[in-house]
Amino acid sequence: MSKVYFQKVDSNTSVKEIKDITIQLLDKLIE
Amino acid sequence: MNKELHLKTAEEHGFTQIPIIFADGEQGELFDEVEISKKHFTTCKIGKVFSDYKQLIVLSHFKGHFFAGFGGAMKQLSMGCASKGGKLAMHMGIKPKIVNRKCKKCNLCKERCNENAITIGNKSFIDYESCVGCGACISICPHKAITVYTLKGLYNVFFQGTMFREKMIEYAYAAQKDKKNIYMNFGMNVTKGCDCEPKKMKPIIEDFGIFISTDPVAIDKACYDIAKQKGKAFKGSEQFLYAEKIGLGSTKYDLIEI
Repeated sequence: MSKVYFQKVDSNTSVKEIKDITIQLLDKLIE
Repeated sequence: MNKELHLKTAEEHGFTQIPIIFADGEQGELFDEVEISKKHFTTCKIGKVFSDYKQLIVLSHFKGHFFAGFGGAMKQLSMGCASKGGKLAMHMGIKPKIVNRKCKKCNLCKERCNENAITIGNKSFIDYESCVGCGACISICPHKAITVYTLKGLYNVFFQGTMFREKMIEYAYAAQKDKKNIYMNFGMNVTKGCDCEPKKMKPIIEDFGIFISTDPVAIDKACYDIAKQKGKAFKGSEQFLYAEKIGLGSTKYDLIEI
């Protein structure tokens, strides 16, 4: 079974928040 | 491939702040034959530049797609990494046709075609020697004058649709072979059609998340399942089973919210 990490977003999520989430997800995957 | 058109598109979308590499050369002439020995392909033509890297970070917008059903990491791998010849090999059998009685000779399709395959005139036509079957002309035509829905086209769509998707999956397998890739899917602004369609489309379901995995099958399946829960069951789900069968990844996943 493969792991898939995610964070919820919605239409109000800002570009900065998307950038932050992207980095957090990358950190999580490689930890 | 038309280098100038691609660069113009990249500029219009603000992508010129990062280096742009034409992975299969400016004319699609640079590729490596990656051996896979699967049902449709023994080898796949993958853009030569990709051979230089042991790892790719594959960013994909999850959305619908006219031929593939949906597009995510697997489609990004296959179409994104295939050379021009590889794209041709995958699309073989999909042949758009201009219905001359509907054609208003507006030239939108001709301008959009990256392969210069379209001639507009008293009898407009598509040169199948150049056409890669991407379907961009079908989506941009405001008069619905380009279609695959001839009798032959119907056969192609319904009976070769699965074949096209299996070919795509085999190319995805080739593109990730011997690499340790990271995949990120963005389940945002999920539209019925693909980003390759040159028109603005409204989202069909609410944004649902940003995903990351080392498995291209699992991450696409997770996005597909959530989209389905939210009311949009994209076609093309059979590609998951084929992807798992040939060893591209797993349809079983553990979805972890962080």
